[in-house]
Amino acid sequence: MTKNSPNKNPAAPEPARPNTAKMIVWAVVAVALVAAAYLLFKPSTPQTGAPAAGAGAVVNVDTAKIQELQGQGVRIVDVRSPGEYEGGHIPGAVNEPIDTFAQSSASWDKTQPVIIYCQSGNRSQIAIDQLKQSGYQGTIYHLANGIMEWSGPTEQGPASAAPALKPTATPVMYEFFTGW
Amino acid sequence: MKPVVDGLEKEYKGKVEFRRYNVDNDTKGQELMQQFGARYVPTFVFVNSDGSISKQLVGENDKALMAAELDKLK
Repeated sequence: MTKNSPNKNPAAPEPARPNTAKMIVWAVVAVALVAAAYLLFKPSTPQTGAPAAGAGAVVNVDTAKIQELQGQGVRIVDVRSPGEYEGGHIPGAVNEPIDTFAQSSASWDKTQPVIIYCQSGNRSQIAIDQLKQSGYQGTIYHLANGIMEWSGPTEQGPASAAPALKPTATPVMYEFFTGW
Repeated sequence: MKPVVDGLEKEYKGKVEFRRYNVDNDTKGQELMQQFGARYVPTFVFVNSDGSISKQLVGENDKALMAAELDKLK
């Protein structure tokens, strides 16, 4: 007696594979569409992984270019520690140390150009990356090799206050808020 | 934020002057805020008695962090 391999019963209905496959394809497409819509329309928040669309261009500059930009009123930021800053900084630069840079820069006008530097270019690069991650739109000028390549005069001591603040008897904390 | 700042104001009374501006309706506050280059509220600017800016903080911050900045002021 020969052993027969079991035959498929020709009358058995085909498993409903084509329909299931179609459903799976549509489900994948739907998920992909939702994901795409989310990525396109989600509000950009600081410190997301990818840079927001339209992040500011980064331009390496030298001493002469920085002096020209400063003449045009572009803000210059020194991201070194206060001690390094006070030891000698580019005149007119404000000090925003890198360890609190993300928080300080959160209040900046993101459409304005800005010049960033540090000692040798490492910390300023970190600052620039943070700005780009937060969706900075304005042009970011970078003194790529830091103040080491600065050939202009330097200023010593702490920052002069941005507004013309008169000395006061005690220190002051300003708070700007809107209605509770 | 208000209770935190109120509490700190009491603690630092006589040591640090708190100047608080509701920029919804205070033009002087709005002007100052622009001069500091601040864009968002709340912003806190810590200024030493010689007029130099010690720190600028944006947004809600916990009491300990604010107290640390207040302690640094001279």
